[in-house]
Amino acid sequence: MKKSLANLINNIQYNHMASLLILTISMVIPFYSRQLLTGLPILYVWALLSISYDVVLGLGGIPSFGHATPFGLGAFTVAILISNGIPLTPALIIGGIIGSISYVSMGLPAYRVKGIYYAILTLAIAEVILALINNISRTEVAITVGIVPELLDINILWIYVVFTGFLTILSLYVILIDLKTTKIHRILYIKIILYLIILIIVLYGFYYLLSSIYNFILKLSLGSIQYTDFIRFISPINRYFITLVTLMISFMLIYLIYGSPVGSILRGVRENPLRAEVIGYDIFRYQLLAFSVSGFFAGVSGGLYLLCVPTATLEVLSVDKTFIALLGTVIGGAGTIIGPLYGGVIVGFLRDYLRRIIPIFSLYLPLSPQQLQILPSFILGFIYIIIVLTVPYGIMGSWYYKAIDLRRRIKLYIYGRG
Amino acid sequence: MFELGVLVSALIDGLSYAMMIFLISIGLIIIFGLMDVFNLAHGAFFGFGAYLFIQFFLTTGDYILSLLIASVAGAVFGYIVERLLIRPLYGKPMLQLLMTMGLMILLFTLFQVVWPAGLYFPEVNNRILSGVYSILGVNIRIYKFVIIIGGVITFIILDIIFVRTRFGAMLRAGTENRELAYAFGINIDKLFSIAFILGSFLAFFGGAFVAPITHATLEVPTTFTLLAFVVPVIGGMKSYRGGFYASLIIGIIDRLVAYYFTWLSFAIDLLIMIIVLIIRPEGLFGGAE
Repeated sequence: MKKSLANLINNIQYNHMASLLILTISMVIPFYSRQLLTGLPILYVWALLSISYDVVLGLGGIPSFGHATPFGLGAFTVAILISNGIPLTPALIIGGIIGSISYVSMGLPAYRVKGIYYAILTLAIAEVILALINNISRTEVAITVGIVPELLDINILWIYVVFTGFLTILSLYVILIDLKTTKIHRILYIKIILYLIILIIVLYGFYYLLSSIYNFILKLSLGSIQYTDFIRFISPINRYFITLVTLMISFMLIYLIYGSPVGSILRGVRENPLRAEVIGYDIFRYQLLAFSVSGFFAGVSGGLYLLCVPTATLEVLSVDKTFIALLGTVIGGAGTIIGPLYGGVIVGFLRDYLRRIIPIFSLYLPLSPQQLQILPSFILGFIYIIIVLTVPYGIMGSWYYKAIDLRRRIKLYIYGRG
Repeated sequence: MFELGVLVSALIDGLSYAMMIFLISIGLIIIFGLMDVFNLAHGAFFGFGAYLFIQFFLTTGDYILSLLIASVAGAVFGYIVERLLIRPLYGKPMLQLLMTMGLMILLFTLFQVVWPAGLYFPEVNNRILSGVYSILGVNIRIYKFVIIIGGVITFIILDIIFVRTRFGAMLRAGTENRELAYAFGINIDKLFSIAFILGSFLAFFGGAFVAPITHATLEVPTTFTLLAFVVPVIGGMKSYRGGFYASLIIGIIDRLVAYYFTWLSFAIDLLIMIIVLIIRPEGLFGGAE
């Protein structure tokens, strides 16, 4: 018993622990305010879109500006499937496969077309698809999904509660073990303060979660609840859960690819294609693999987008979506996978936040609502350009590659000299 | 269906369209040829020229003056962009791509914020600007002929500059072999600035010049951005003359398709480009010069 515990402790890595704690916090955080509950899912969609883009841009090193295509086609596929009564999970997977196929076929010209030419080509293909659909249909293309049945499934609510409870207990356990094994006093104090903050957030959030669900069940069992209230309570929670869990699973899968031999080979191809080819790797096949993975998760994120915005219009295929993915990846740091995750959330937050504070500006600027709606994208464009100029490696990239000195100094401070 | 009048109209339309495409893509070719910077925002520059031109025309009512102001604004804008955004990223092609992509999005959103409904060139009491000419029962805007002539003149002037002047020789030398040109005492940094300014100037001038026909809506920069990419790819990335021929091909094919197979219009250009990219990535007219 003693030995296996020691084994377990030795095997805990801090980044795994941090992921666990962040996940637990994000499971309970929506119960602090309703705004978070309704606003966060779309941020997770952008995060998923960004990490899927990172597979091509960051890991594969291929400048593709057609990322809106797998996203949009995935969204349309899922919309059609769901409105024909197919459950969400298979619909998402089929949407992902369609996204994957479309992105692989966009990637096929990469066999001959490289670099700048490829960037132009993808931008052009994305626009051609949009123009063709526009030309042929002649009317506004829109598929309304309505309320997805899974959002009203009470079983998902139970799974949410049980899963959150499990995560909370697990976090407590991990924190206790970590504190128990920490011997250096200076680190211990820092950790105690840090964990205390986290614990307060998690436990209070869990308490809020339990109390709100308890009230809900009480009303439900008394039969005094209106159907609209039922929808209003359960659908945001389920939407939050589904988007978060999908993001988590996708992240883990992509993370596995990053760490696998395939990931290393792709990195090698990115750094020096000629060398990789001479060593004997079939570059093209690996790049197509990157496209298929990236397209799959872009398609899935397109499907998730439909949970947040229940009507699929041609807007999902516009270059704006590519720009969101690009911005998220560049802010977070291309090629770092964890960076684009944060980057996507940051971009979504900025878009959302700017859209919310823009009406304040409208008092001072003579702008119409239509102009105000596009203003956040304009400001984001500025932010993007400044980031490309000043921190081209993004947040996590700079932390990994540039802040070596800073990290060493922090380590020195924490562990003391020697 | 294949009436002669319609065919003539389509051909003249195609020629004027070809000149529009040439005006936008020549700047792209100059910039890419010399600096290896593929300016994805070049179509947005073109659109910017159109917007500025009509804005000035609406306030001043003077055609020549507005054209001049818009073109000079283009040169200034090009200088600023080159100094602030492109220069820090020389030698980093990936970041340059990301940068010009961002610039493109930024300008597109700028147009939507400043001119949400777009700007329309008014009907004026001038036969050249707004009049029509009747051939075989089909009315054709006279300004289209102006565009054709203007495009050809621009091509001839540029050709003379590139072939006969010292500046043109420097530009060609820099395009051919940058290091060698530098070793022979050409100030490459300055040349880069001038080339970028020239490219930006041409884009703004082109946008302003064609604005009486295209007007200035968001469709202009989005359409012409992609058309501008098509031309260098087909004509060879670094060939000025190839760009002219490619513009002619694309312009005429595009208009003929738009007249007879409407649903395929616009897509056809990009399909041609995709096919050329896959079959002959160096372009149809590239290499020889």
